[in-house]
Amino acid sequence: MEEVVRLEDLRTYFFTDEGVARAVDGVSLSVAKGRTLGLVGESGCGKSITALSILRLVPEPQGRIVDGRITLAGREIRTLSEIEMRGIRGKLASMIFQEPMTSLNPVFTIGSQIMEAVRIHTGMGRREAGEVAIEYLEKVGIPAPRQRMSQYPHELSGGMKQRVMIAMALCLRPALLIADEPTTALDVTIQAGILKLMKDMQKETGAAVLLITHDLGIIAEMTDEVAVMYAGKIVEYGPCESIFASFCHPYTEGLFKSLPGRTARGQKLYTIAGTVPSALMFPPGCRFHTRCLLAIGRCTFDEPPLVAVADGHRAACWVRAGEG
Amino acid sequence: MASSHLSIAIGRIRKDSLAKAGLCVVCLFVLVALLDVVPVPAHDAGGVRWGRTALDVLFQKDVEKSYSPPLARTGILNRLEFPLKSRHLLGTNNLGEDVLYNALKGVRTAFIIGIVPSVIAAVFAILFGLLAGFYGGWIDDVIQYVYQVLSSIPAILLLIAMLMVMERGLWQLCVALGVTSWVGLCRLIRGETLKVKQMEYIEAARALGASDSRLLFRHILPNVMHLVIIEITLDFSGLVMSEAVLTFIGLGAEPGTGSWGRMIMTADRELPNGIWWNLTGASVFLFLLVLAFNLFADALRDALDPRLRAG
Repeated sequence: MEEVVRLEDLRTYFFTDEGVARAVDGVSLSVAKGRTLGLVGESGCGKSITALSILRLVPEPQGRIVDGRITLAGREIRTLSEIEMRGIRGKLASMIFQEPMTSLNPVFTIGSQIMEAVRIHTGMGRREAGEVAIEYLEKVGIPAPRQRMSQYPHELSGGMKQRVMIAMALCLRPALLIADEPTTALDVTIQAGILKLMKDMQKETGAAVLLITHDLGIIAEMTDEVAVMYAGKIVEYGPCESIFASFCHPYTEGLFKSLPGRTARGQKLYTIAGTVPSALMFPPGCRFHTRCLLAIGRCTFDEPPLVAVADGHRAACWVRAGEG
Repeated sequence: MASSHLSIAIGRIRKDSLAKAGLCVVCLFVLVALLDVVPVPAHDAGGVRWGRTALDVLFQKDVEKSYSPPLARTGILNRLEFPLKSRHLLGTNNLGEDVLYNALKGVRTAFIIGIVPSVIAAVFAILFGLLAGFYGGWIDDVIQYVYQVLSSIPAILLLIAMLMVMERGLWQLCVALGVTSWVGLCRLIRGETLKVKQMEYIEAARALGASDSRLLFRHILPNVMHLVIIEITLDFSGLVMSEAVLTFIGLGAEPGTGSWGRMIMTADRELPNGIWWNLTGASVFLFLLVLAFNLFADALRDALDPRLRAG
């Protein structure tokens, strides 16, 4: 299968006054054409920074990609100049953000914003770009696209705005679409529609999708593969069915157990005790051992590697995944 | 259907009757200023001359020998033509010039002084404010240093120094006022830029491949522009009044330029002798323009306030 994006041992650190925050610390993953990889984890585990690293949009100067390789459609991203990078953003890889409410510039019509996305990367004139914009507004299911073109973001509902964002992200048929919690800010009733739209658009454009979420339901619905992140590292990685059928890492287990549906009525909801450790000071050994119910002595000083537990399914745990 | 923030703002102003009244008065003043710009040809022995404006034609009166009270009849000529035209409605000053005419000549000067320095200041403020807020780091440090230094020098001293270097004149005064007054707006724009650049739509534009200059001038600038508009309108009245003050201390426009400041300046010698109309003429015009503009500017600020925008 044709690989669109590949991360190898990506490390993105933040150099703050309090010390070095290892937000992303050795992440490797890849997404193939037409496939969807789900990146799951708690808030602050480094999912978004991983995504921003691919577009080299990590907030500078504190944040820096310090190590690793990022290959996007065969090109090594880290060595490109900023100008070359601009040519890639939006064209080869684009991104949908979490907050559709604030992701559109309030002072421009949605038409001019989609047209701008088109015109940055192509030599199209206003008329042509306008046609493309209308075409994509129609594709993302916005009724009366021609009239909507001249509306301002505040005149649209959240779901409509997210559809506009998707149109903007896809109007140049990028090879990779990064969706950073695209439905978190939306009503549950609208979520399903947006997710279906993303799936349809993916089918049509053949884009690879990196879907960031903390919603396991969305993962089950949307993804082919899943990477579970904890404290800047991937702790479990494998095909979606395999992970749902037989998750291996205690953290993944915790995530599944804390789903409300799994708890009998009247019982307290399951929670993973403790909180994600600060990226400034990760515990030695396995980073989950401070919250892990299965932790053994070795977990406190020796970091477990990702080892295969089933076909294409890997996990990093001394107890469950053994010596590898 | 589609409605921009501008049309929302206009709608808000429409509902405000004080603002509308203010705007009407301002429009009257604008009309006077425009009349003072339109040249009217005058035929005489030497051919056609364009020295006079429409305002001159309409309001210029004969020069008397010295002071005359309001409603005094004009000198020898055109006494019988029109009753109003044959009287000095507001009297004449020490040189025998018609006070009403002088006050009207001051309108154009007031607009120039009220607008041009703000625009000059806005250019500096926008450029420096955007750069400082957007890039931060050493660029921010340098710009902040410059404006801290500038703002620590008393503005009046800076003005005197600049006007001594340049020739005296209305436009020079505008430049001097503009160059010395961009600091406040620059701070505002810097702060707003710091806020706006964190917004997700800036991140989103970046993720679509927008360059820094595009982000700055196409995405951030329109989002801080309300500050500029508010600042320019609020500064207007202050600048108009500062012209009067600066003329009073001898830093104003060259003699011969219509100026309320000059009219007020001569009042210290006139009031003891019971000559009140020169001061009154200038003050009433100044008061009316400033009041009307402030009423309008307040409404405009409320209308453009982003916290009141429809979400």
